[in-house]
Amino acid sequence: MKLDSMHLDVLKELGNIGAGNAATSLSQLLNQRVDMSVPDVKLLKLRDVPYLLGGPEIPVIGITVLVEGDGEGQILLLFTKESSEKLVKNIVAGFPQNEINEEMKTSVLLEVGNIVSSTFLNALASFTNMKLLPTVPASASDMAGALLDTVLAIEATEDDTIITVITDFIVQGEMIEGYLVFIPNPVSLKKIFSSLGVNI
Amino acid sequence: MERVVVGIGEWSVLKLNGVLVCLGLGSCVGIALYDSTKKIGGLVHILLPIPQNSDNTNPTKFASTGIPFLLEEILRLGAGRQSIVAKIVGGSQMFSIKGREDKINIGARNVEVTRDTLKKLGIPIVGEDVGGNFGRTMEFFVSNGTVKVKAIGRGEKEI
Repeated sequence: MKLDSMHLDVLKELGNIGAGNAATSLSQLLNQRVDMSVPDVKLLKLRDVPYLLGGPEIPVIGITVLVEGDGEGQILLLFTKESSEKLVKNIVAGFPQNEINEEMKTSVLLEVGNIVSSTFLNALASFTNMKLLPTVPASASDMAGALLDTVLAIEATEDDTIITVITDFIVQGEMIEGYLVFIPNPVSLKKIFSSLGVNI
Repeated sequence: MERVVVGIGEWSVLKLNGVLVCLGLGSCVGIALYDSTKKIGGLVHILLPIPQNSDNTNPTKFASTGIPFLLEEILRLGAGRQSIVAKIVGGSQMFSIKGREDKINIGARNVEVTRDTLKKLGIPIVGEDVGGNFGRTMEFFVSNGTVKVKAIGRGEKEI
């Protein structure tokens, strides 16, 4: 597959629409302003993917969903440990302190992953006219590299490069920072382009 | 001391001393081959078990092709075929999604094909830290063949 700057621009625009929707949903959930950056679309060598967020050994919380339907891929939301704690604290603020345990914190994060990835995908789906559905989310707390290599392996690319669409978002006033990484399966990427009438 | 980070789909060899490193292995597997008599070591960082597409140009992305490739490289450096042993690290399942286990659990398949490939080549596995649901960093010391494994919240161990 040969991608040029025009293809990357198309993906950037797609990512932008998705990220805008995701920011709105997160903002409604938190009742706070959420800013999302214009997505960074990169064609990366596989070896560089674990370095996306400052190094393979950085401890992070990751929430992932598989994308299914007319196209496949994966969405991975990443937060630093500190940001994930603040995020959860913010959402469960109204609950009695003694009811907040680890299990509840995890389900809150899974729900955030669910809402953000669903809204991201919905925007992509309506723009491309493809059916794109998220699976239930899964979470893990570990080294960034370990989560990212798993995502690469699941997409089972035989290519030596992969497209990543990355947006970082900031919850204003709370210093919560996170990243949304969208990795379309290379086969599905062709379908996305053809649905938009873009030659590849 | 030389310290070489071996990224996804990459390999490296060293003689006498130095450290070969794989950072943050999730479902990937790091395979260290070592000849202790000559102090020659090699490390390959594989992502997937077996290539599906025969014209793929990078053999060291896969267990089935990466291990024979690394073997050739350490033999070229002077390792004795009968002295070579292996240590393997990684192959975790980082996420679990009900009903999608087959798609997600590539770590287990990576380990399985790694074992099969080493067995076919007659290379014994003398140390391993594989599976589970957590990430690992491995450091392979070529001076004595020691492999240190680090995981978050689990400290460090030697295999």
